[in-house]
Order: sequence, then C-alpha cells, then structure tokens
Amino acid sequence: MNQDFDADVIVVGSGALGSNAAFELAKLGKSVIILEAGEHIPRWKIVENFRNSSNKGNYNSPYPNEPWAHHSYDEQYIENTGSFEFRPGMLKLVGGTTWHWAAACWRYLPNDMKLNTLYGVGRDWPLEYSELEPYYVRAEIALGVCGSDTQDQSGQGGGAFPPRSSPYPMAPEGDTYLFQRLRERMGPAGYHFIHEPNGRATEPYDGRPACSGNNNCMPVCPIGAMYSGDVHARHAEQAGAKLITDATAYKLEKGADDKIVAIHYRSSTGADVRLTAKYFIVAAHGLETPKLLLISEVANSSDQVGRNLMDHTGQGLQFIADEPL
Amino acid sequence: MITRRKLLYSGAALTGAGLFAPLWAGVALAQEVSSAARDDVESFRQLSMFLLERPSLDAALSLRILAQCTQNDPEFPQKMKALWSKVGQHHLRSVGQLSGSPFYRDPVIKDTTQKIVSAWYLGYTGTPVSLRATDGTRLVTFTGALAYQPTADATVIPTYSRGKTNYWVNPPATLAND
Repeated sequence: MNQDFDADVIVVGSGALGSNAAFELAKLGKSVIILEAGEHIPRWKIVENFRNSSNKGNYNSPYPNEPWAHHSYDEQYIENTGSFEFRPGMLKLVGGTTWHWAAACWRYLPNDMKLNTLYGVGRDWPLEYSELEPYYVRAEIALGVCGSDTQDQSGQGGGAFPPRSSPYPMAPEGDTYLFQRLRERMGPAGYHFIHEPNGRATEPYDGRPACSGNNNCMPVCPIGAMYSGDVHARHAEQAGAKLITDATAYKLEKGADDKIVAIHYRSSTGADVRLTAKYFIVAAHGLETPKLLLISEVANSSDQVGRNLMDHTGQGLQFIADEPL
Repeated sequence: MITRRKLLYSGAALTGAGLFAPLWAGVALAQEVSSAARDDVESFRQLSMFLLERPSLDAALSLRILAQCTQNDPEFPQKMKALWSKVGQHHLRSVGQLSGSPFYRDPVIKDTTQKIVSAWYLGYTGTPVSLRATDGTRLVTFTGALAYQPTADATVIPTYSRGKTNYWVNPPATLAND
C-alpha cells in the first residue's frame, strides 16, 4: 500500500468504462479509489420503480435524480441554446448509463476506420482494426457478449466478417418467430438479415443468469442477464478497489509540473474532500468528462475538449406486416 | 394483509354509506378517495364499461382513474356525467354509435371520452412529456393496463417472464387463430 498517496489510481465514474478500468488495475494489485456522484441502488428497486412509473417510455424515469446527481433529463441539467434539443439519456448511479443501454455490441469494421481513404469523408483512425482487435476480444469477454462467428456483419452476405482472433464468448440467442419470418421474407429481396451481437447472456455468465425473455432490456433488465456497469463496479470492489458514492468530483488539481496531483470532490452533505493519487482516470461520460476537464483547466492543449460532441445516432424502420407476427 | 387495492375496493363498495373518511389510510389515499363523490363513482364505472365495451371492470381502478382525472380537472365529474347522460338520451348501444354521432364533434365530449379510454388502456392518466424528469402523468396500474390484453397470448408484460432462454423461437400457440 502506497503511503504517500491516497491511492495509486483514482477513477472518476463507476460506469462500464471506469469500473472495468478499476477492476483491471485492482487485479494487478494497484490501490484504486472510484468516485461516483450517485448512489448504489439494487436492481430490484429499479425494477419496482419501473413498474410503478407512470411514464414507462421515459428510460430515465426508474433511476435516481438527486439535486447533486441529476440524470440528464432533469430540467436543471442541460441548457440547450441551439435549434437542436440535445438530451441524451445519461444516468448517475453506481454502474452508470449501461443500466439502460440495450447492449448492442457491434465492432467497428476495418473499413469504418479508413473513412477518408476509402470514402473521401471524415478522417481515418490513427490505428488499424488489427491493432484494436485484441481489445475487442477482451471487452467481449468482460461484457459477456453473444454473437455469431459465421455471419458477415458488414451485411454483404459474404463469409465471417470482421476478422476475429477469438470466438464470441457465447452463442447467439435463437431467432424470435418475428425474426424468422423477417429473414424468410426479406432474404429474397436481397436483404441479409443478421444477428446483432449483444451483451445479453445466453447461458449463465460471470454471475449473470441467462436471458429468459423478460421483454424489458430497456430501461432495466430485471434479472441482470444483460450486461451493465454495476457488474464491474462489484468486481472492482471485490478485487480491493474502494468505491465512494455521493462523491461529485469537481476539480482536478495541477501540481508544479502541470501533472495532476489531486482531485477534489463534494458530497451532498457539503463535505469537501481532497484525494491524491499517482494517476487519475476520468470516465464520467461524454458530458461530464469534458466538463470536469474544462472547469479544472487541464488536458486541453488542443482546445478540442468539449467540442465535436456527437450524440448517439440511430435509424429505425417500421413495417406493417401482412401476416400475424 | 390489507393491500392498497383491497382498501380501495372496500372504499368503492362502501360508497352507498359515504364512508370515504380517512380513517387510517395514508394522506394520498384519503385525497384520492374523498375527491370522488359517491354517485360519480358508479356513473363513471358504468360509463367506462360502455366506452370499453366490457361487461365488468375493476372497481378499484375505476375509482382511481376517476380520482386522478378529477384532480387534474375539477370539472371532470360534470363532463363525465354529461357524456353518460348523452349516451342515455340518445340510446346509444356502442362506442361506434358514439363516435359516429354529431355530438361527438364537441371537443369536450371527445376529450373526456379519450381521457377515460386512454387511462384504462395505458394504465396512467395525464400526458407524458419525453426527455424530462417530471410530467403530469400518474400511474393507475401497470399489469392491469388493458393494452396488454390483446397480445397477452404472445407477448409477456415487460419485466415478467414465462419461459426460459430461447422460448421465443417457437411461434405463439395462438398464431393459427390470429
């Protein structure tokens, strides 16, 4: 145990990213502190909140919304000034927003990382798919992803793609009757209907039960078959990391050589605490991470922190079926 | 054990005696119950059965919907009774006759009808506002929402389960009759 610092590493945020980082470090014998603005809420309470919610289409409604740890739909949280109402569904509690992420686990394809070279738009990534691939494998094992090892995930109807160095940890779930019919009807029209790799366990995995079709991936899997960050918050604690809840980080403190030497957090009771560490990981999500960096005036020599923010994009298709599904 | 539902039910049964006194129930429950006048309770249930074309409806839920709609709009009992009396005056036999009748063009009549039907089917009152922490909605019932019934043979009510992994590969047993 290091005597000169409060911890080797302090992680801000107990979501999927922060908790996995904390777990990996704790396994290596590092002393780790995780700071979480929200609280630990057991799954059954979230499920009960959902059942009692009068607005079930609001995926944040079953989750805590405290004055010191708002979820992102709170009127006090995001002030929009432009024409687009940007209001992504972030949560603040142990485990973070993967409590309601629906668990799609697509990899990028090799060509996704060469947009400029191949398609003349955007920028190429500074690394190749092959360099990233081993980390995809580790992430898929950590999250317990089920997927097809034989389908062409580029949708072109070819062989297994993208390349994999290791099979998916679990086999895909069986196709629903709806999917079977879609595949059969759309295939002849030239559409390749493929399985979406996802973080729902199809067999017992890492303490999680297999999916039993509870029809509620969003906003909470009632049985925890779907991966959420609370899994690794728990693993990190079991590996020795210290999780401090009700701890809103508000300042990264710079030392003499501009390296970060300490972090300051405040609790809902008003208590201010300063903690020191050799390293700090800010994993507080796409809004809170730049916010903390900007208010601390750190890590922004590029002047790009907080810029180029992009929401989660999505497309949907709706069909009216001519047969019962 | 006396559940909230049973208590409400007993309250509804005792409407004739006017026993809506908040004897030992919680404040919220007392408000819910006392806001519904006794003759309104039975009118509302009869009107609901007509609008939903059902021979019976849960009395506790009926009381709850009436109370919540009344809290949202103090004029609701009058509007509801006016609608019910129109139905009687015109000897309407079905919702189809109601929605096809000239007086259904009256926005108050239409809005009142839709509020009632919506509360029974969706299981809440009020209008949801998306991407906000709060709105004016209030829960009436989760599993009792009538919208779940038409697909209950094939689709499980969210959060519950009635099978094991991959049960969904089989077509619904009732497919042939759909």
